[in-house]
Amino acid sequence: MPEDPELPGYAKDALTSSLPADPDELLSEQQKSSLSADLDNLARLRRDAEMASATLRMA
Amino acid sequence: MNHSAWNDPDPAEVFHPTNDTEWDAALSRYLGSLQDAPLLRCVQVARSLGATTLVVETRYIDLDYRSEFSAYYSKQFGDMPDTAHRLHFFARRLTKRSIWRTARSAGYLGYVVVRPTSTGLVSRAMLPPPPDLSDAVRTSVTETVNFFGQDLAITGVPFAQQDAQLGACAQAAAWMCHFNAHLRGEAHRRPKADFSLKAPASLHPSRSLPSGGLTALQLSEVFRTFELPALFYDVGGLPSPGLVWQPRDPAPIPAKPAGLWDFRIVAIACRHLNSGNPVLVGTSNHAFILCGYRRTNTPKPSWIEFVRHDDQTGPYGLVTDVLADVDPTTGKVYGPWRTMQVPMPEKVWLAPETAERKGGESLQAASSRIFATWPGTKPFMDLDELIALDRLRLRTYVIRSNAFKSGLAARGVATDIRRAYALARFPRFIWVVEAVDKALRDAGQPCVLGESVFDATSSDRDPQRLALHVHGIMWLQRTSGKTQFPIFGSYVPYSTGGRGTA
Repeated sequence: MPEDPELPGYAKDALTSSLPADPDELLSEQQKSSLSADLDNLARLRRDAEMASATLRMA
Repeated sequence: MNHSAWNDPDPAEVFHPTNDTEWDAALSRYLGSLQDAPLLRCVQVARSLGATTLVVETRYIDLDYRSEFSAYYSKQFGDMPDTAHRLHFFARRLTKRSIWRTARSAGYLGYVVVRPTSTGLVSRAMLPPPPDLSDAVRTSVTETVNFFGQDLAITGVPFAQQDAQLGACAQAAAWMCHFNAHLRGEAHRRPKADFSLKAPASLHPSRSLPSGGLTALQLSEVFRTFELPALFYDVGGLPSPGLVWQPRDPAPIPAKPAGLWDFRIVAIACRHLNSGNPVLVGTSNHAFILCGYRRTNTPKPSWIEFVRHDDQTGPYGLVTDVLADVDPTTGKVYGPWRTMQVPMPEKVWLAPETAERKGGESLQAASSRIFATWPGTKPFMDLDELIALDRLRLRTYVIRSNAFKSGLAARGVATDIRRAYALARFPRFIWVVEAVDKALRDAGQPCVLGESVFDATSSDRDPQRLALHVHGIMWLQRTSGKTQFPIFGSYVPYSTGGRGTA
């Protein structure tokens, strides 16, 4: 297997200091709010689908 | 069907057919039943794999047929044998004198268990996919078969045909999903009759014997009871991650069944097939399973065709268009799909669409920030650029965390990233959302740029991310609550960890 391309130390330092240590901070407040609403919607859609089709017949 | 001398010869009969006529002769005692197609398709698959020897193991005591015999056939007025035949296929010549000692070197190609019932011959079968579909099938499992004292391994997707008495297509499809999970070590073995006997009769308006099929609720209850609670999807109301750069949800077409326009079927089925889990599809009058998919350029680029096990036509059929489902070989019209059920290990609670919603956005956000702060010339394209070029795709699958860890080295993942994953505390199952460069994928090259990993036991409303890794930079969630950051790897793309090609 070839060697992994190694980043020089200065590059690692630059990235470490510029990126948030908490990945949740990668999203803006608006993105977080939108994500939360979408997840709620997906969960509700699943619940509705499961309840609506209970008596469907399969041969 | 002729039952005379059903248990003869003792212990087996060996054939070396070389053409259609000789194959028909070898199978003559079974042909002429009310539904031969599944057996004939099984034999066609075996022949496509190069079968030259057929060994008919008589008086085979099959767990599944025995369960049906006890529950139903033993109570009929007419005589019915209580044993089955097991038909074994080999690539090389195997003589009757040597079947007890040289089978391992004869190129085992799998088996078909034939029950003595004219309404449905194939009790079960385990055959590898035909060569032209071997790359498409993604839910293969391995079974060890004892053949006259010799253990033989065979890999494929289990198949079964309904007997049209005790069980219908729904039971056959459920059994196929369940036996697959059993061979993956995720559920105990359940005999075929249990898929009828354990379905709550009060959840069906008619009598349960002869079976007229199962309701969706009965099917869900069977899966729940058999350790594989099923995710349920209602075509027309399918969930999609809804990321802004992904295809918009389809607009319903008034007065048309959702199975004619809801293309979200494709993405949902692929996520589960990427995980190695078969998908049970229900139409208005039939049920079958999907066991794989492949991309073609017909009728347009990146078109998805699925591989189907249909208990009425046989294993490894092709679905060329999910929204206009007609078998390309037989012309059988399936009609619009209505439901999809995916039996899953019990503690895979997180749904794939929610994992993909959060994972996709996290990957994009991390990529943007990394790209913006990368010192000097960037040796890679960020995800925003790939989105602009319509080259970004997400590949989502559930996998045992141990399998994910052990597969990293072969996928070309950088050493420090592998070390971090290997030492991480993960639950048994994780959802993985991979960022894939479509252009690299289509060129057959390593194409994964990063992944977001989720705890499969977490909530749909709050998916818990365990790791985020893109362009060689990784955040890892520790069970202490702290995040380990940074972990540096490599921006070089690597191979997918899901089942089959990306």
